[in-house]
Amino acid sequence: MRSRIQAIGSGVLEYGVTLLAALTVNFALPYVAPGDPLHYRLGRAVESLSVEQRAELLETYGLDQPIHIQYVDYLLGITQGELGTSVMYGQPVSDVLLQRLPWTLLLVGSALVLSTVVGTLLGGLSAWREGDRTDAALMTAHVTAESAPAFWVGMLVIAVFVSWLGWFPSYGVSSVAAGSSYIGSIASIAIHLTLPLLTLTVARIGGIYLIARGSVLTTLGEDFLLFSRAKGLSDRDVLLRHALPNSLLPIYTRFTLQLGSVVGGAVVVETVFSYPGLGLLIYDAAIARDYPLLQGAFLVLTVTVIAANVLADLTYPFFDPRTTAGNTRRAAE
Amino acid sequence: MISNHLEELLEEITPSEGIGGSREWFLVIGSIGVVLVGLLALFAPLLAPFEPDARVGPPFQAPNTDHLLGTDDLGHDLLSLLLVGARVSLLVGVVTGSVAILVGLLVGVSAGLLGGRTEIVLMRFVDVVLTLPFLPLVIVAAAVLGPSLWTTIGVLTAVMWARPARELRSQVLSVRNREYVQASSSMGGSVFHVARTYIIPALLPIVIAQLAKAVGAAILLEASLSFLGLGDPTSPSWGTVLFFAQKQNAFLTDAWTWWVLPPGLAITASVLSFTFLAFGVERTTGNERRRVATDTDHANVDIQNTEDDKRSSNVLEVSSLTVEYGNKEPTLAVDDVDLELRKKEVLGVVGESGSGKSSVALAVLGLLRTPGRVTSGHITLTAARDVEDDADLSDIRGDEIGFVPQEAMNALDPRLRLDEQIVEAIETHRDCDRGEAVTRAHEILETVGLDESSYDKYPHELSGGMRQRGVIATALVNDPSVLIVDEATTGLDVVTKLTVLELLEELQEARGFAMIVVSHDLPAVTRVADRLAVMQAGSVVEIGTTSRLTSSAEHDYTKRLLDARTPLPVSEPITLNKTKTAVSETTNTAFERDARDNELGSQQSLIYEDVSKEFGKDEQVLTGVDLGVASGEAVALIGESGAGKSTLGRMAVDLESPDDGSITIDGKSLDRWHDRGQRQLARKIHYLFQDPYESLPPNRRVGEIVREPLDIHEVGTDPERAERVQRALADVGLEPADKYAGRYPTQLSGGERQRVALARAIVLEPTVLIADEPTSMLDAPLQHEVLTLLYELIDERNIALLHITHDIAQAGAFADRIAVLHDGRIVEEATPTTIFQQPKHEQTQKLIDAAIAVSSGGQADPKEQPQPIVPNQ
Repeated sequence: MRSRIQAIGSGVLEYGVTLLAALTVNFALPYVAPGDPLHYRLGRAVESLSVEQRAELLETYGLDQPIHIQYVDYLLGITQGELGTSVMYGQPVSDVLLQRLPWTLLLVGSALVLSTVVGTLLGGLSAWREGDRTDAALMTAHVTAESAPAFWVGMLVIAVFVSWLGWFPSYGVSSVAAGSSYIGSIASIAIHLTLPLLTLTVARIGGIYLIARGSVLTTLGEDFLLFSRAKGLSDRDVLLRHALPNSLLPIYTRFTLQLGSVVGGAVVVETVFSYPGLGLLIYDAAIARDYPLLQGAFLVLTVTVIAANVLADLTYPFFDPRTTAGNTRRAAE
Repeated sequence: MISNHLEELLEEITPSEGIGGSREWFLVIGSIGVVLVGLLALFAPLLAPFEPDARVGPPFQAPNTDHLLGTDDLGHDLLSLLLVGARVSLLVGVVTGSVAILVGLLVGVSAGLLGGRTEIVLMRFVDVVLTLPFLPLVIVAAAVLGPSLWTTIGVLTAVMWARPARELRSQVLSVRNREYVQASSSMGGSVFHVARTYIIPALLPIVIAQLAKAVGAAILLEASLSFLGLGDPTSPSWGTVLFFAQKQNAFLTDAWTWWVLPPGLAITASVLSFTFLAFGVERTTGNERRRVATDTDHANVDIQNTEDDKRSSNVLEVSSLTVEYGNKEPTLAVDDVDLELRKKEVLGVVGESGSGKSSVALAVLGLLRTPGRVTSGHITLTAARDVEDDADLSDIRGDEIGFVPQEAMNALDPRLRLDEQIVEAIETHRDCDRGEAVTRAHEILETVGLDESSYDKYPHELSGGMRQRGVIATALVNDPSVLIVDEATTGLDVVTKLTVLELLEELQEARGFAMIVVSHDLPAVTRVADRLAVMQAGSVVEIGTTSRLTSSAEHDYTKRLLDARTPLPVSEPITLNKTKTAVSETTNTAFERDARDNELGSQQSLIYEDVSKEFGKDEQVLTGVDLGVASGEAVALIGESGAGKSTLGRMAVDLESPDDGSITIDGKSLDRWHDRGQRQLARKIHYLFQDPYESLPPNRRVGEIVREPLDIHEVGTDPERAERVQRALADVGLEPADKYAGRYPTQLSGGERQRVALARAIVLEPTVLIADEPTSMLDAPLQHEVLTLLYELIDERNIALLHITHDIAQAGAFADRIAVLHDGRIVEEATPTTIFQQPKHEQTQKLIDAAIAVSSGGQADPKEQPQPIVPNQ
């Protein structure tokens, strides 16, 4: 029991240190980026300022303070959601991020769930039918999907479903024409979501499929599966009650790791479909050198990655009783 | 903690197991694709009809005879752009991939080889890089640094090296943990020697596969960057072409067929080729995987009710059963076998490994693992209960026939509690509510001797013995009329073995089922079986009652099996005289030796003094072990599995290190040997591993294997080394030696392999030999042969032998002295005669009783054993 508490303690410590390191890197960005800190905060406009104006601005932003004070102020600011002002949008960074976040979560989150569920089932099927035509066809399809650039798949999807068949709109998250009715806007959002979701799912399913197939294949060689057959279980029960549940751990790991990258968005797919997610925002901010915005976006990224890892740690025992919270190493080994 | 998730994940990520015979296809298609793309890129300037950056035609042209793929918005020839773009895409891919692999190799191999703090720091860093959301980072870096080819390459390399680093490290670790690599370092092989001889050759195909994957991934990433307009505008790649197509909305017009489709196809095809190449290379190195069968390949089964057939007293009949493994060149595992099992009878099926006995058991149940299948045969089961007319094997498995598999400790689902697994077995065959099923599950668990606290435990919370009982309970819960037990006692120490056998005997008597016991452990089987079937090379060569076979076997092979049983110094009257002489000799020599030792002080070649260590998952400990072995003396170290025998042995060759105490070899302490360098120590002491299938490198010839110690220690000239190898091979009876020297271990039998390991052990003429269960992987007749050889060799050479074994009978028959390790210390140490006649410690008595009980098979009750012989005073 003591070792378990220790494990949780060291886990909290580890994540705390990681978070602090990420914050520090974020704080340091303005000092290592090209140009002075004011340039960093305000963009090119700074070049035309007078000396007095500069001094005034430095004071306003607290940039004339010693570095450690600035660091403490920065950390305190973050606890209050104070992330500075975006050069590009002239709005607080937190507002800009909050506008984009729901769309990213909607698109990337649904793609993650969809690709994980479908990829796992197909991977399991493929493993069960190892070596036959179904397996070969599924394998080829998934490896090909994995090899195609996502943005190109997106362009083809638009060419077929928008230009040729005319079934879907090609960009944006909803249309003005949908009107103000509640159902109308939901439908419009769903219609706009379909193509980017399809594209992103195609782009991500290959990885999950390969993991699921490999994992189920490994489980199929285990002694306890032979024994579950010896108990008289049907093939279906062997697969669903023993083989799949015992193969879920690596798939779940992949899921939680990708959960961490959800807010990072899917920049290329968002670009092709002009979908206003965080990925596209980061791209635009990078092109426009909007450093405060980038800084804020990276902060959100880091926190999500860490949160996803914490979630994984806490939920692992649910998938494998040999792992206990705070200690994900297999106890049996 | 991040690292643990990744570990789980990356282990599964390689699809190394195969779509049957298609591994060659992957290799062929991949190679052709890669060569094709390479050639196109190489000769692009010659093949391209126009300068790619010249405006050579009207804009937005559809394909025509002048421009086979049309033109873009500026009138560039798209075919030329595509061909020249191949150069850029491939250049970035190959350079990035190679640099990433080089960095990954450097980091991964140094982490794997150096270990310790270096490894922790390096892998921590790798983990952090791996968890970063790298596409946003790449975009920002590329945007900030400004577009150029070298930016792209640099940025991509920075995020790509970490995965190969991790994968290569785990490969290094897995190669390092192979027994033959451990053998090499225990023989004094330096890190450099081990790396050159084993690790680099094993890593090479993996590096190639990783390289191919990395190149594919880099091509894909480069395309993404260029598509976002972050690529080098002066050297357009496939991604750049698509960037402009996107800007002009080409995919909303007809132009998509010639402007968007071709570059994307080119990217996909190239990445796919590299991926296939990687799969192909990976698969050629992968091992064939075993898996459960599906219900397609089993014998023709006929199930009838008891009332239907009153004539037969057999519950199970197997006729003309034939089992083959593999499809292309099938090997015959079971050849036309007929067996019958009578009601309430125990039938023993014995034979050496590979004789097909387990295949018979699995075939009866329809549980052969692929690629095994039944090619002909018929099984008739007389069911005790009513069965449906169309009942098949899955209906009677676990119901009419129970099965206790080999390695029963691993037979429980790690995710489910013990009683849930039994409830599942009940619910599969019986209509009853859950409460009733749980009650029945608990009843049967109690019957097999488990107490209440274990019922709702997960398998990992139970000991091996408890899991074994749990499996037996599961097999019996539906009251089968037949129980098939496959090698249930293999690898167990003698005390545990006896417990399992007694449990099975008791249950069989109480419940009256018929039982088939499959094993290569003849003494254990003769103890329980009414009849014996002896199998050799897939056929039953002799069958009869146990008492007839043990007293007057007809077939040569049966006789050989029986002769090979190690006689206990106490039990059998036939060996009385022989044992007596042996014992008196031993006593004398041991006595003389003791006297001599007292005279000369410590003439011992191997001394453990007050050695302590914590080891194992349950934090087992050795506390203050004292033990000495004199030159020319053989000391057997016995104890139950997990007692720490091997740990003790491995300490002497630096495969483990003691927490406390000292080990002295040939007059110098281990610390002093360390001061002089590990290599010097390795000349004096050799460690003989348990498993000759694991301890010999599969890809080196016997000659090279035996020569390795000479090479490591640079003994003599080439011809001298060759000569010593020949002599060593001849000494262990592998003649003609030059014929054996040219073979690979896979071409040898288990016995021959252990002889090779012995030749390697003596070629340097060590003063101390530690033999760790040297025969436990061999069949009974071979055990005797190899041990006799081992003891002859050490006798001739005056070598001090520490013989680690869990078999007290073996120890008694061969060793000069026996030391019993229990609870972390040596509890008793004496000559075999003393040990067997006046055991002082309880544990020794337990080991002896179990050995007697196990080997008393088929004869009288253990209590009626002849009295221990009295040594002549």
